[in-house]
Amino acid sequence: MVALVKKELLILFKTPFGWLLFGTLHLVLGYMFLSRLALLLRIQPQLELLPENPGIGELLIAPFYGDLATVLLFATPLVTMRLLSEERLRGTLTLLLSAPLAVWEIVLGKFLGVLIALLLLLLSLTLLPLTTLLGTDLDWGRCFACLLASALILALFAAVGLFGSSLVRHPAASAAITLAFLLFLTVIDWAAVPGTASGELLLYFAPFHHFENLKSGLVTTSDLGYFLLAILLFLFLTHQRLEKLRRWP
Amino acid sequence: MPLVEAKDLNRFYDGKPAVQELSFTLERGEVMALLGPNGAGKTTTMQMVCGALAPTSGEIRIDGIELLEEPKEAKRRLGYLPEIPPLYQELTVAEYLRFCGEVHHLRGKPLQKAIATTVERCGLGDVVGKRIATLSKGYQQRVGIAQAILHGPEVVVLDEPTVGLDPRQIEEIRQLISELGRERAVILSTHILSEAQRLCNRILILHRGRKVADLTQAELERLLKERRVVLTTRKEIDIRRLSTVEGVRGVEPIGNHRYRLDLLEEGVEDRIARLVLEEGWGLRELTPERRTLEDLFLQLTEREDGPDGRSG
Repeated sequence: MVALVKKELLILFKTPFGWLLFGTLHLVLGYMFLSRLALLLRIQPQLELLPENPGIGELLIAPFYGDLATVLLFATPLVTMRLLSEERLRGTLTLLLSAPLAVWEIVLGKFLGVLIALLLLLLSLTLLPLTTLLGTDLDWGRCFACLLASALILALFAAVGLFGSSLVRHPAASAAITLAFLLFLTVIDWAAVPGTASGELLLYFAPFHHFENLKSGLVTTSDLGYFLLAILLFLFLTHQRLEKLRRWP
Repeated sequence: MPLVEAKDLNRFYDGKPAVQELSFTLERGEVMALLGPNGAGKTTTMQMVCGALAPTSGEIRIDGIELLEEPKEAKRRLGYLPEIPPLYQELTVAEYLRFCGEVHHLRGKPLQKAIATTVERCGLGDVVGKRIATLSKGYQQRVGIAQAILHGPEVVVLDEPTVGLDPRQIEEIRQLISELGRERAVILSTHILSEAQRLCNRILILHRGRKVADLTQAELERLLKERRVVLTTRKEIDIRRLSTVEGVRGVEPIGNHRYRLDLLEEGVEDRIARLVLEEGWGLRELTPERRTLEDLFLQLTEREDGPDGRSG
């Protein structure tokens, strides 16, 4: 399984594709961060008049991680699209299936490989908010809550992407499927009527609802449990799909 | 104990049978050729033996271990080269082989050693550091074979191992297969019948998913040695008289004063010619009909076709 994790990272970072994608994401998110920072500096005088200054954590750090999650919602399918689709397309899945690996090891190895890549991206992007240390203090608790929330939602994106790439042979098609899944999950609570049971349920399914909860610094088992369950669900679905592929390729 | 034991394998795709009631065993030191027309079920059989495809029903034992119940233990003993070599184009040969070794639980020194030996055996020394995508088809095929034998499996399964290679490379790979066959069990599929005849000491012929022949080398040799001649005369002959000639096993008229004769040994032709001359039947032609593996193959794979004789 460790071999599989290593291979995924090796392939991702040996190709220009990985660097190109990660480089582009840094540029885009860097631009978004700087724009938010500029806005904050512009309204700084008005903010000082407020009785309770919301502070940099509320006005810059938390929104930045919101941007990050939104951008990664669109970028993750590009990272995960090759995971299983390409193995099927190129016939290398046979290598994995005839190797002494359990199906869950294949699933977990692939998931961890892509998760590590995304976490490295998250950490390197975190350098952006850290630059504010040059001029101000940071609310570290808030920062860690944001990091945790981002890590969990990225893990969920990765699990959905892994499942998406197990469904079809063509990477581009699997990216489209994953994106559709993620977008649907994002808007699932739009139909929620507040106060009704069905509304609560739809709200519970929405990843960004739990993401915002965690990001606000309120780490509850309900939100953590949601991500854990959702990730496990998609890993399980991928497992079932691979088992089925072994029976009906 | 046989190294490979397949029992009553069945495999259906969408209700259509690809492999039916297939059973065979393979001992150490046996190199078995899987022959059959396209779509006969060769690849399906190989995939099932390697655990890459679950059979609809049936049992497979590798070195006595149930493949379906203890897949990990059984798969450690298996090396498989699928029809399309399963290569990661982005990796170098060394990176790829390291990955394949690690997947088979090789680490550290033993892994290094296995890679070094395999690279040498498959003649990959010049390309270890190159990316697989940049290699020629022949080298890629060899990397595929390297992957299948790297971990020293007891059973090596090769799906058309010499496809896409030039004659010199084919010779090298055949030599490698012969070497492997001495200490292990090898299953290979091929379309080149002479290759099967030369490399293999077992021939399994599949047709429409069913086994139509399972021959050892001795049986095959005997079948191929069976001599046949075609006799053509000018006049009607006495078939009964002809069949009493010593060494003639059967006479079959095929029309137009032509007869096909099965002979038991060499030199019977002399006696037949003498009889024809003595009786004044008028000898026009006495031609040996050589049986090759091709003939045998065609005969076996046509026999099973429907009454209209059209093959699928």
